[in-house]
Amino acid sequence: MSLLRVAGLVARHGLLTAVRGVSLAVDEGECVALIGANGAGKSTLLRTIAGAHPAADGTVVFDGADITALPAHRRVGRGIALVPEGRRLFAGLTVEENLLVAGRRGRPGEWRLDTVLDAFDMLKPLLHRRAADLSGGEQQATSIGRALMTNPRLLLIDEVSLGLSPIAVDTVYASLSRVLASGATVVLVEQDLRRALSVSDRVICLLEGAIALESASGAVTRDQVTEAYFGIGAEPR
Amino acid sequence: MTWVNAVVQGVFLGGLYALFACGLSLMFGVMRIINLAHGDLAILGTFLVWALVDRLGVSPWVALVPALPVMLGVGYLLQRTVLARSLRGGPLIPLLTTFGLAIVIQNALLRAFSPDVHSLGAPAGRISTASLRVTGQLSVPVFGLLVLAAAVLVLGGLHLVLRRTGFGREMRATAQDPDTAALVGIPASSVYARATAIAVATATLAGVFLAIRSTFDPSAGPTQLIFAFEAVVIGGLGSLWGTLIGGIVLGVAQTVGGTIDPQYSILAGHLVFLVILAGPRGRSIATRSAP
Repeated sequence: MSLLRVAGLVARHGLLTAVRGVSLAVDEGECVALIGANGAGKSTLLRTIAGAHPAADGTVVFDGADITALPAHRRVGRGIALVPEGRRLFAGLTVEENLLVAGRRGRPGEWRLDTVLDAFDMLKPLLHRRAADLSGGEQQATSIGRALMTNPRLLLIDEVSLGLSPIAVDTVYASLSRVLASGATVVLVEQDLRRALSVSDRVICLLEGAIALESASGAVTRDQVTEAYFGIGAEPR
Repeated sequence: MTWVNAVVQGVFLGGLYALFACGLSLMFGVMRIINLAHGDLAILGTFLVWALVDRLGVSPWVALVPALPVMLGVGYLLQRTVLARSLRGGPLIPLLTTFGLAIVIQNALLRAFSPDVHSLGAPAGRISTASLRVTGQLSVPVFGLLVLAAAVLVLGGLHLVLRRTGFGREMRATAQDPDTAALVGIPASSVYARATAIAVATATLAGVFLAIRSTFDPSAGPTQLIFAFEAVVIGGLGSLWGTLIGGIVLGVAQTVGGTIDPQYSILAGHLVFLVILAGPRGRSIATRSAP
């Protein structure tokens, strides 16, 4: 049975419909990459799954339970964690505090301060640095580490590499692959297509709030992606 | 020597103001609410203590033992019921709500306890008047020392809780970004309710100190609110140690002003507040969004 099942999900920003009837399923241990152009609804979809954005229609079923109406902080207890776009660290708190504050309300499990620091060893010398004083890559590592501290069964990562230097992207992905190797279930949004395809088992491309392409990451061709990404050849709407 | 005495008295008075102000500062720091009912909640708690003292004949210190947990509960429920709803309406609604709450509390107290002026000075016993003579002309009131020590303990304790405990980390995280705090499992509403509970309980403690030091009546709240607000602004919004300094600056201004001429006491405090508000700190407050 799928860990996450989303059916007919609709999410709006005011009058604008960002997600229009998305249905997808994620199995335990799977890594799904969510791609698509700016404004395709990737972030809104992740935020709605995490409970940070209300669903206008449709259902989110997690581990067999309908959690569509559950507030975000209670979904953390069920095992859903979101690494939000822009990292959104608690700027006045230190790296250590950012990690520890997330460890109180989540589930018990293998991810504790020491295991997170083992996976993200770049953070070890920075523990007492204020989050506001970190580089982009360090912030992203802290933000992913913070989400891991809740011991999620499903980790949602919005924009893994946006705004990071190429070296920082490599470092973050090196740590992320350690997380994936531990069997974590991950849905990530990635602008870098090559990265998205290499790290994931399956790729889902959103176009104007709907799924335009869904395929195993190894089987997809560049033309297919380009078509789904830009909607070339799509029905005029 | 008169001046030294005035400064010493002012420092002690400042301890009282800081104690009033710390709850106001905490609520503003965590929730961005300026609680206009803060002074009246303090007086509500003081009346609770006074009623216990009056009915049971116990000392105010004994009466605080049941009264503080009750006021913690009052603060918790206040946030869970009234303030949580008003917070959803944007930044102006809590201001209006607490303004209304202030009027409701004042009038309820007026109805329940009449407009009579009360004091807890006599039931508190000798401590309210005792003093330590330092030199021939300089004497230090024991009670002033006690209030200042309590203020340092409460503000220092709060500071430690915020810095060192898991609960404090949750409170600081929620203060900075309640939406992201929810993403790591922290329910903002419960953090807010606990902050309000602490604010109301410390206000009650300050109210009882005020009542032992001088007098109180159902309409005493707004004056204490103004002093607390001035102490918070002088010391810097959201900073607990700043609040202590702010309270002391305000207290010293008032007592020094009062030494020049008794009429100038309150005015001198207001003037210091206005000077600071007109300075760079005031501008930073006026232009500040969420820090």
